[in-house]
Amino acid sequence: MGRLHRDIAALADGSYEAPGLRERIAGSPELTVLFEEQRRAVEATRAARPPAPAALRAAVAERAAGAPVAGDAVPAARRRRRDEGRRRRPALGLVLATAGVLALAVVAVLPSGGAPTVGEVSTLAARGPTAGPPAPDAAHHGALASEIDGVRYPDWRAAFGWRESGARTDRLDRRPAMTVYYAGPGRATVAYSIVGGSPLPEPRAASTASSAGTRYLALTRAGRSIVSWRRAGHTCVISATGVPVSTLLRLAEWRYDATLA
Amino acid sequence: MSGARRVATAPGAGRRPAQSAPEARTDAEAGGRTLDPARLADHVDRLYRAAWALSGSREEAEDLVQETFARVLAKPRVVHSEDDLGYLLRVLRNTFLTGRRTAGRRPQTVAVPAEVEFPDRRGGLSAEAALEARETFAAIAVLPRKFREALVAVDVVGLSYREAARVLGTREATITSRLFRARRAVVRILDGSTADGVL
Repeated sequence: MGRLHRDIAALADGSYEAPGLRERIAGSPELTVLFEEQRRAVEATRAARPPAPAALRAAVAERAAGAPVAGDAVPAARRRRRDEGRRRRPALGLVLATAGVLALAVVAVLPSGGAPTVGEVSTLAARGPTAGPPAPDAAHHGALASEIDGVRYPDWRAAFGWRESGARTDRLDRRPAMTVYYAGPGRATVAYSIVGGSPLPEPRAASTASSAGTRYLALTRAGRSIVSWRRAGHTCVISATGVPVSTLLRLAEWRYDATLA
Repeated sequence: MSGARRVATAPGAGRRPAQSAPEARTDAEAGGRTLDPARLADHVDRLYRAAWALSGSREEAEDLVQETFARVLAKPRVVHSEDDLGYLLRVLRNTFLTGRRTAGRRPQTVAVPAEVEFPDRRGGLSAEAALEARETFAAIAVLPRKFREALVAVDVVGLSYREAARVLGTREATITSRLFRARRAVVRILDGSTADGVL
């Protein structure tokens, strides 16, 4: 029966037709049932053709465009930086030599070594809420009555079923950083942070995805999934533990007002 | 994975160390073929469906495909006697298995509830077709691993028996036997029955 079953499977998907098999199937109710099962399974599987989500396609295309080329052991971006560095080496050495004392002085007065990072925003968000959640904004359907420099927090209740559950306010290098927490299915919680002031530097080693003109950066820090992007010149960060990055991307993509960034 | 012997690099293959770039060049000189990153992106849809059927989760499938391409595109790759899709499926499978092995050490993911439907932004799939696809992939995902992998390689991704055997490191006859039984099980599950006695 092993060989016969394999031949029936191959006939059902068109890979191979064993001589005389069709006649044998037609003359046997039992083989007809087996063949019909194979054919139905093939049809069902071949009919299941959902396309990959747009954000996933964009992320892969962007990654492929920046991939190192064949036969080249050095990625293109790193090679460009290396070549630029070689061209500038004499001038750079001179600058470094003369600016050494100045650099030491600057480091000495910087309180935390430079601008805050997306990872630091996520770390603050992981500490949990310290206040109650903002209320829905009656004047802006789909938004909450809370904002940083005019950038509002979304109300995800109608679109996703996620309900705001708390908030906290911090300061990062003199910038306001407010986080609103949302409770989702099960015990999932997502933190949505907006940082005031100029945008934070983009994190390194992040996956990227582009959708509707917005660039999203996805990364993981200390077990938290993080998605960062910019709205109206402000850094926004969604972070969570135990929630897939793909879900965070969908939440980040959603706009209560399509005319807004 | 035993079938990895014929491929120069298969990232995500568990303990198998990744090959260095100088070694890859040696393979190219010995007749290997380099993967073209621009062409790999053409396989996203099939990889996504394979990942969904393997994992049973649309969200996990997206992360799995992202991780697969991140590994493959991290550096130039040279393959022998295998098409791009077969190579990608091999990496996807390795990534999936590695992820499952370490799942106990990771936080458990929480899927968005089924009643929350996100619109298909490409507009290419009706609600009915989307529902059928979800049911089909759910039926495949509960199969034992070897049967699931054979069905995914042949019926979902569209590899030939020979290609599937190479990717999964087994014989063609074994692939076909597993396929036969996997299809019977899927039909019974879709009919609301169980796969008892079939596998």
